[in-house]
Amino acid sequence: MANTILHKADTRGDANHGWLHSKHSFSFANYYDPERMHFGALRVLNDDTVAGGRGFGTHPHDNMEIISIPLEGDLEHKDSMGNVAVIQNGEIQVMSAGTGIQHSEYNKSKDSVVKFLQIWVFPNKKNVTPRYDQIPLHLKDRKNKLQQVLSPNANDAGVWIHQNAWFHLADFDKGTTVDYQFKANGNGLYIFDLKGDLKIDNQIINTRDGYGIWDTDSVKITAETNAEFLLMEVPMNIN
Amino acid sequence: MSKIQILVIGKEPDILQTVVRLINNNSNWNATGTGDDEAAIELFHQHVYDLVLLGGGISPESEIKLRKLFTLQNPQIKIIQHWGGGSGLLQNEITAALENNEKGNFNIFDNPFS
Repeated sequence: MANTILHKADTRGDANHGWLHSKHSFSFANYYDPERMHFGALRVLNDDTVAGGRGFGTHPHDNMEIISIPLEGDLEHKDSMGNVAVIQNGEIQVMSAGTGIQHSEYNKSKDSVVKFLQIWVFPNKKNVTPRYDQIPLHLKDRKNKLQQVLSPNANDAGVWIHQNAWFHLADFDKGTTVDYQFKANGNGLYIFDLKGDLKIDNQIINTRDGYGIWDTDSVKITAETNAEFLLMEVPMNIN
Repeated sequence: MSKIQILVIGKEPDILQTVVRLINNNSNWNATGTGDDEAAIELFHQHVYDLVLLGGGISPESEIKLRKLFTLQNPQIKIIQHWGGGSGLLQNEITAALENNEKGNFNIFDNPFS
């Protein structure tokens, strides 16, 4: 019997700093809910909107796998490894913070907002050598099918991280169905509905809802309307 | 009311400094930071701490040694891993540890992948 958890969009933590409006699916910064600390190895899912010309100044990280997925606008990244890059919708960025890095992220545009997902996954190995990568994704490769954008394997599709995790993006027309098969035993799947309505087995979810499911081998996902979504398969037990 | 005393151990000086500064932004908490194992042991011996926060860069051997020594000296001591390096998780991790919320922190001390 599968276990499930539903996080409705309007129950997320809400932090509005003027220049930054962030919706936290899990406890983060001043948002603290002991019942919403993580979903397995998935620790942070922030749905961020940053005002024009503004951003996160240089700050440190260590021991975390950090994934950014821009949804709208351009995000400028600089880090202590010498990487200077702009990521935009249709790309994915990954950092393994490992022993420690410093980085900044700014909205490249002075006038329009940038929207992106900031996702943190606990690593399966501490104190690794920091690394950075970003790759383009072809939007057509997620039309009515799952597009793998992250895995544990450097030679597989998408970026890779130090964790037994797989992410997929999808852009489904109404009525499209997929049976998602788990990649690894003991993993759970967290579905983040970017836009539209989805039916997950027998559960309907709506825009910006999150739905976790574990202790099962497969999940049936049907687009009830035209819908875009992100699937995050992660280990449920990392101790 | 006395402040919650927190010992922070981390090997990356910039991150350690940031973590200590962020903790001390909370008027109810007081952090002392060190990147040296022996200094950490000495501090723990000389002062009473409520919580030990393990940052990045600590070798598995050091972590085992520190956990054993701290627990021997104070079996009630809470020792948690700080993930992310001076990040938005810091306040959550400390709050959860002080509330004895096991969901608040992960320890991959025994992680078979490590």
